[in-house]
Amino acid sequence: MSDSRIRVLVADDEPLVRSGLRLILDAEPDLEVVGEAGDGARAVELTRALRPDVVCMDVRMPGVDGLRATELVLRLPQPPRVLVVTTFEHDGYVLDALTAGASGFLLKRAGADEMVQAVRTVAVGQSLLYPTALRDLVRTRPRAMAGAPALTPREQEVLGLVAQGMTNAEIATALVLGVETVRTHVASVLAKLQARDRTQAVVLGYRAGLVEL
Amino acid sequence: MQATTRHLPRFLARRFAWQMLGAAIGLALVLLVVGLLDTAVTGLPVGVVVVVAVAAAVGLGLVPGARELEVTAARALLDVHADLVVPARPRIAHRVRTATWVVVHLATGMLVGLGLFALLPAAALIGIEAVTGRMLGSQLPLPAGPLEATLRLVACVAGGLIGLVATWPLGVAAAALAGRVLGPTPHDRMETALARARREAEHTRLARELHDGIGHALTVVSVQAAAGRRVVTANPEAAAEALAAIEDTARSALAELDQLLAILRDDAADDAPVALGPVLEDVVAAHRRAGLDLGARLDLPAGLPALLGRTVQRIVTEALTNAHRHGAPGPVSLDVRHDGDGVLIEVANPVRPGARAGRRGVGGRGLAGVRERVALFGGTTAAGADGDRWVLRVTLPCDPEREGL
Repeated sequence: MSDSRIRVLVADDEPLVRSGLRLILDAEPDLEVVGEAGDGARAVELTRALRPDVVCMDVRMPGVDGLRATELVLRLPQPPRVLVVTTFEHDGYVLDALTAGASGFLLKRAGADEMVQAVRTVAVGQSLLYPTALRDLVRTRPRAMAGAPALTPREQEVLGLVAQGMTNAEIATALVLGVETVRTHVASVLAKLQARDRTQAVVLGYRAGLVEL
Repeated sequence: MQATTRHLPRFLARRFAWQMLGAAIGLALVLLVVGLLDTAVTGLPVGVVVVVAVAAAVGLGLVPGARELEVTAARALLDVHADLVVPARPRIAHRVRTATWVVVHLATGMLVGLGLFALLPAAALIGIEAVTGRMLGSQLPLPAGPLEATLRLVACVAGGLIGLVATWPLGVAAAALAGRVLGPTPHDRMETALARARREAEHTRLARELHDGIGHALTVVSVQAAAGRRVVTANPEAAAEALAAIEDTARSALAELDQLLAILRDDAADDAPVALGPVLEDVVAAHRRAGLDLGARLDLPAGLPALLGRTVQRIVTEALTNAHRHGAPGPVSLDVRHDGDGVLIEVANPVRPGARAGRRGVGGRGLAGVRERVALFGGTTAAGADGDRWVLRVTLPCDPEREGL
């Protein structure tokens, strides 16, 4: 039982935000907060020592900020998934963190259910967190990537459906394909975009103009 | 300036009214000058009358209130929509311009009056004489032949027309000139730009206060409330703690909001002084209670501009928190003092043994935040190791440019 629990690290410079998140996440039988970090450097340290599945990462922290910590954490062997936790949606750093490979973002004002669900979604990695909000976020910044990798029309189609938040099974139904085939396409898209996961693939896809905004 | 035909009568009526205003005052001045001088000397040359009358008009332009009257008249009667200025404290440039404008106004008015009440009747009289061939009192000899009569008639019609319609071009010209003469001087423009920049900087500071203060507090409240509700049955003690945290956070946020609103309520925020001493003493006391070995020297005037006061408070709080969090155990010193130019803040704490001076913990967001705040006020921030102590030095100017606004 305890092996199947999702291990979470909470990084935020405000102790009261940390304690709140811990209460909420620890109350779930399938989640377990294994550590708290008050700044980015500590978050990297604890991630290395505790090997959590998900790091809830505040963006603005003293010293090493959440953005840099996300990059550092994702460079570790067998990196955790990073869920960026932010006060303001239109914080420019959120998009940077997602581009850097964070798997999703969550607003601190979200309800407890939403927080729990976000951690689970990010941990499993089968679908996208808040597809609409993600698109709006990318929209705030002009297209930046040149020399987009060539995707086949089918791969582009699959990426478009991933961007809508569909799971592999849903995409299979929509395109009348086998789930295995969809999985292959998704894996190929991730490889071509050099994306860590679906979120990063979608962010890069938007920015490269492979997915319509 | 662009009058459609539909509005032409009104347009002309207003220009004409403006000119007649000038003509009436101008005529009164001339009569006064002639009357006064004539009693002293008889047979005055016209040049002297003109010079003295112009001087009198300039004098009139220097009378307090002349500017306001002229600006009002230009707006109402010349339809000047450009930015016209009535300076609270007129400078020499303003006075010169006002006097010039009064002279222009009176001269234009008298010119139009002359056209209408001298040129037009004279042209009519001479014209009728030329047509009828009868002397009516113009004292001009009658035209010698039909050709001369025709020429004279044409000249009279032209002269009469000029006298009749002079109000139009002169009105348009006056309206065009008003913006230049009564508008803002380069100095005015600079002051306006400075005032705007100051206002924007103030908004930035307030936005920052809201973001860091109220925004942060509401985030804590929202997270703690979500947590408390989540565990209220399973873990009522934790829920009670969450409620206590919410209560504390909300209460201090309200106090902060109170201060911010007080600043906003006062239109000129910088003119509402706050007594910073007691506030800082509270901050110092709180840090001492939390276990900081803190020596404080506070030397501040009774009143500081409100936003400046808040910034000082924030910087001191931030610096002491940093010293507490990242410094080595040992005495921390705080020195806040005020000289004529601004406020100086100095915080020094021991560096943790083994930790390299200048490591990121101390130079992190706390210091970056301090730098940003100080930059908003045009101050300076210096931080670094001084022997075995970490020293933060901040200067905040008391906005020396406020003079003259």
